[in-house]
Amino acid sequence: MAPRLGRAARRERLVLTTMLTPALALLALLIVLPVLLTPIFSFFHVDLFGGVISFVGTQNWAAEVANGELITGTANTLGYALLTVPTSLALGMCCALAIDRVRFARSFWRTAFFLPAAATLAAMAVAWKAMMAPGGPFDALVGDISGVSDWLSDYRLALPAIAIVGVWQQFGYNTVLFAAGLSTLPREPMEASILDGVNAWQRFWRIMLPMMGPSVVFAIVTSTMTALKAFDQIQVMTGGGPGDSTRTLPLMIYSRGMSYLDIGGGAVLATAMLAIVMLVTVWQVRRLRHLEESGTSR
Amino acid sequence: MIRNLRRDLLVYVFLICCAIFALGPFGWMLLTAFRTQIDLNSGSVFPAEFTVENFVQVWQTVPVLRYLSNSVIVTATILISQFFTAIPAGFALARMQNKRLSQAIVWIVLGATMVPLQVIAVPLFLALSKVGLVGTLAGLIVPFLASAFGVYMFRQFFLQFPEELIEAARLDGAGEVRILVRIVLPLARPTMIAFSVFSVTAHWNDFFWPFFTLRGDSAATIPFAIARFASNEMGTDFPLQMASATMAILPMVIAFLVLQRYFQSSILSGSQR
Repeated sequence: MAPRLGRAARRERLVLTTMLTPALALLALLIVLPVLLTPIFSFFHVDLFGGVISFVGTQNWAAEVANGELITGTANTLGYALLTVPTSLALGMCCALAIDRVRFARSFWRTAFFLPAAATLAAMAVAWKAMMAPGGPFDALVGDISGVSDWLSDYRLALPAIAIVGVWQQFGYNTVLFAAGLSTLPREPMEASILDGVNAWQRFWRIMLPMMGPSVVFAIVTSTMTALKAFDQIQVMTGGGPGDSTRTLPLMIYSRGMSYLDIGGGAVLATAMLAIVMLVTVWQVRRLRHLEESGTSR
Repeated sequence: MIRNLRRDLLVYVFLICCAIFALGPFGWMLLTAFRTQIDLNSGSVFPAEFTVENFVQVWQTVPVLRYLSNSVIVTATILISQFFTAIPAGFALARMQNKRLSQAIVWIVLGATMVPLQVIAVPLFLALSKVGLVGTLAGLIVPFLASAFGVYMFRQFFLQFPEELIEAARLDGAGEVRILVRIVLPLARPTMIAFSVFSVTAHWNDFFWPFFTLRGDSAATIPFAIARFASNEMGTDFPLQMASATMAILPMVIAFLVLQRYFQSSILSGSQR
């Protein structure tokens, strides 16, 4: 570059750095630093009142394993994700395909299905809790068929009951995502496959789904993250009960850190959650790279 | 022909079932909010008579307007701060000459979008309590002053921005700041709206962070206030609870019904990674 441009280029660099700094400094302070601190805290005992921090090795981890929280919390979190993620993805996909087929009231369906995702979940959880109370409409519809009423007080059925609310909240989001993915698909391969006598089932798995690659990956990742983070409906509807049957990692992080003021123990549980999230992230990155290499991305 | 008709009918039945699943809870909540407890206990699905008594009682026992203004203050301050940090940062990331450095920063930003608040809640809480912000409106705002997702979203927009327009402005002697404010931002409106919808929905509806940090009522936002009201006060007075829940969801539901297409474009811009 010519030397007389040197000054302008340096000035531009200064301006860009100034633009970048506030956001990066805040993100470093509010996200990156706490993320690094969380695993470190899990090896320390923090005395909040004395203000003393002391290294305790793996003591917090041993305690969280011994009191069963690490295993119960992880199992409940993964169990809730397993109940909600495949269901809301499949339901979302079916709804998107159905909307794609019909000619009547197309925008109404999308609005109706998405409303639960927009409405304040903590408030709707209050409504769901009342609906699932003994003698409520949920018992009248589902309780009679299943033979078990009052799901929220049942050890085995409280988590599935909450998962129903999770699916209710998430599936419309997936519908909108998939509907957009479907609308961008080229028509030719589809028509060619019809002429070749490929049936609808095969057409979906072999042609449509691979071509929707990126939006499917995005929907899987978002639904999984939403499930791992689920808090509002669980806290409002059961508070983790009955027993520990719906206590997921987010609820335990709260009760360890805030109710028992056990910072080290809370950090152990938060580290476990961080590990799960990192697995999801690695999967997403590898999957998207794979799609890009095989040439099916967008 | 007949087979096709039958299949279409099945598709409509499926869609109607899904719509009942999605809207049913809203319907039941609304019906229950307008009836008396005695009427609800009678067991009939539809109310014998409608009453607005529940709404009046919620309004009289709870400082609804304070919760509402707390929610507005928190959500608006977060949004404004996120705009002022994310737009310049996204612009700078898109225009940096050093591509390897900017790519490295983008990876860190993307990593930050994946971090759930629950993972970092305890260290954040400790830091806020050190500076005395726990239990205040500021304590609900500070952790969200910058949005990693916002930085990424605006960077993606600025990357696609036509270079010729910027070059032309530069030849006229405009600097980076003026180029951003005068030329780029007016065309960034769709991205700004999509980001606003994303940010406002997330923070207006947020229950976890207020629940984590608030003990009292003074800084309560709507989701926190409604959950507290429903659990503490009226154990099983469902009509009263439903009236309060209806009032609580009203702002977001109205915003969604009016701004629907922006909600959808907001989701889709998130999927365009």
